[in-house]
Amino acid sequence: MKLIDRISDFPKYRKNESWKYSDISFLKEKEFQIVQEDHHHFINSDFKKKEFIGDAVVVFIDGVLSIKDSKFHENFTILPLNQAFLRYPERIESSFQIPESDSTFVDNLNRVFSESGVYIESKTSNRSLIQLIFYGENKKIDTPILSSPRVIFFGLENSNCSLLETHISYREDFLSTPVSDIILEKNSTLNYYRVKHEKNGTHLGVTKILQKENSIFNAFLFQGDSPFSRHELSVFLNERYAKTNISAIYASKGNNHVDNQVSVYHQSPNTESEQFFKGLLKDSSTAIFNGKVSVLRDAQQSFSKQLNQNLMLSNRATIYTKPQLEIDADDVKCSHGATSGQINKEELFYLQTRGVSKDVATKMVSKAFADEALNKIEQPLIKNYIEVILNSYFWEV
Amino acid sequence: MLTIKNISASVDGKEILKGINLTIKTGEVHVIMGPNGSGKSTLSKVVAGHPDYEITDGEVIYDINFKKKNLLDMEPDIRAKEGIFMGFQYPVEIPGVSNEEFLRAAFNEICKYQGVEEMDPLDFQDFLKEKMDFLGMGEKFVNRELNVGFSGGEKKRNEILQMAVLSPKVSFLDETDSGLDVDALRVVGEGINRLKRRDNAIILITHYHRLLDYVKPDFVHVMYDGKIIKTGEESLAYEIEQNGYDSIIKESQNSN
Repeated sequence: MKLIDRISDFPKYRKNESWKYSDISFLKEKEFQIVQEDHHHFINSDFKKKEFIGDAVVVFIDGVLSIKDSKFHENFTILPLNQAFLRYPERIESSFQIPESDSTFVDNLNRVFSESGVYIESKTSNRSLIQLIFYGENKKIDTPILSSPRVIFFGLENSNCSLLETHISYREDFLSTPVSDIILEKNSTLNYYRVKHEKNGTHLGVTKILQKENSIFNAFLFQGDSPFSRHELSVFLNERYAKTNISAIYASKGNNHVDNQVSVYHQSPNTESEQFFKGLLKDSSTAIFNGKVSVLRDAQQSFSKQLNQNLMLSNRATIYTKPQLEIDADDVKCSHGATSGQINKEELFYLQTRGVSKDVATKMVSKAFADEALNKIEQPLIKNYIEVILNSYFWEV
Repeated sequence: MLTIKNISASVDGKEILKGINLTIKTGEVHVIMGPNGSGKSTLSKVVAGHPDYEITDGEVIYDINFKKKNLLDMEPDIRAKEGIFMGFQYPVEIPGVSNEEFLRAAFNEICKYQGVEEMDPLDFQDFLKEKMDFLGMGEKFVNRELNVGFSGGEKKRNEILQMAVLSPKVSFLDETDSGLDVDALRVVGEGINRLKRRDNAIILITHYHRLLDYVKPDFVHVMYDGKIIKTGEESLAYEIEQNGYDSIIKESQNSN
């Protein structure tokens, strides 16, 4: 199957604001195959030992939910999406109420091709960790795989838990378009971690969050390690006192392309949002930060802060950064900014005069740059997990 | 041990050093004085290998373990590994890098280069604590970010701590005594004096004689306009503090 045969309206490169620097026209003519059901491949135990760090673990293989590989836990309701449709129709229905964001292309793509999904409900207030692993096997299939898993997550009233999304693949070529819809009910808290380290392929991911009164969404996003990777995050602060705090690291090397799209919509009064995105760029890589904060007229006394910082480790790397603010309310506190720069020469010289080689000094200073974002992760287990991935991907040759 | 031969250097096309000659032997303490802008800091940066300076003439020969090495051919970190140290007039703040982590990394890099076994973290802590005690530095120092938010005195003490840890053969200390109150000056002065050994050499760049109450120099050089215009004994430093540089500068201009 060719994508262009099923999807006619590809986003227009350079003409569409959100796709201005990401050209995906190369996908149009590509042949893809969709895996339709659980094909009875068990994940091996070494992988489990290394990657399974959640109290509950939900596994997708090539975009298909694998119940056999998953691990359940009493604090979470976990159901295949088609069963959840029957059991909790009104919940599923309400997940469709998350407004559409600016860029709906990936969301639509996922709807068209999604064969499998999972419904998760967090009932717990004891901070358990649920992990979602999106796994691609290195199995010989001639046609690249298109995987479009869908996740619907409900944080019930007063619940408090963590969700870790790991995207990891050993396939040579694929397109993955995973979408996660998250609804946080009144007084609930979710710590959301999204780690993408597929070595090859094309990744177009979406996360959408609808926040009710007094809910808290803390996120840490990591993107790196693939030729073409894009993530769109849309947060709707739909009711009073909803709060969101997003930190991120993206790291690109070689000829890789990493695209970060963030939109935060303040729809109600007294809502708060913070964004802290840090980029590390090496070689001839390209990265994009397009961050939008929009404060609607009713969202008085809202607070928003946005900062994007980029460390350019090569003079061939390119960053496109665009922090944006749209404010229709008159009583709000908002700030935003973006920087990009190279490592300070005097810092390098100082370290070198102490016997530290230029390479090691560069690493030291860059790691310190990344640490500022990594240190926002409160759970040591997850911080360590992400740190190991970043270090092995970005620093080992 | 270190022979600076007719070094000329410029930055952005502007000539700062105009033929410097200086011979430093093991066990010696040299003092370099001179009015602002005479090229003192440049000389130490050129020896340490700062990339902004272009060497237009001359050479620096480093005599170590019976081998003569051309210092100017080496990267700054190799010079440091070979035993050259520079104490900065304005130590650089490096956010996010902890003082201890940095000191251990530097120490181990030098060990590795010299073919000595690296020290494990716990042993290094003990080693560091001993050095810090004699510089009157509290334990909180080690966990702070490198020079970030340090007072002027703390930064200078930290420079001497690095010198103590790395144990260099030739140390250029660029105005390590400036910006210090009397108590901090005593700590830093005594610290330097304790690091002075028979097998190393120290070059103090300073404006004041007061540091010399703690560290006795063998030679005092006066630099002016990129050249060394006079060399004498400790008494020359007193003379300058009393009378300034004018008469020395005039004297050298008359003799040309």
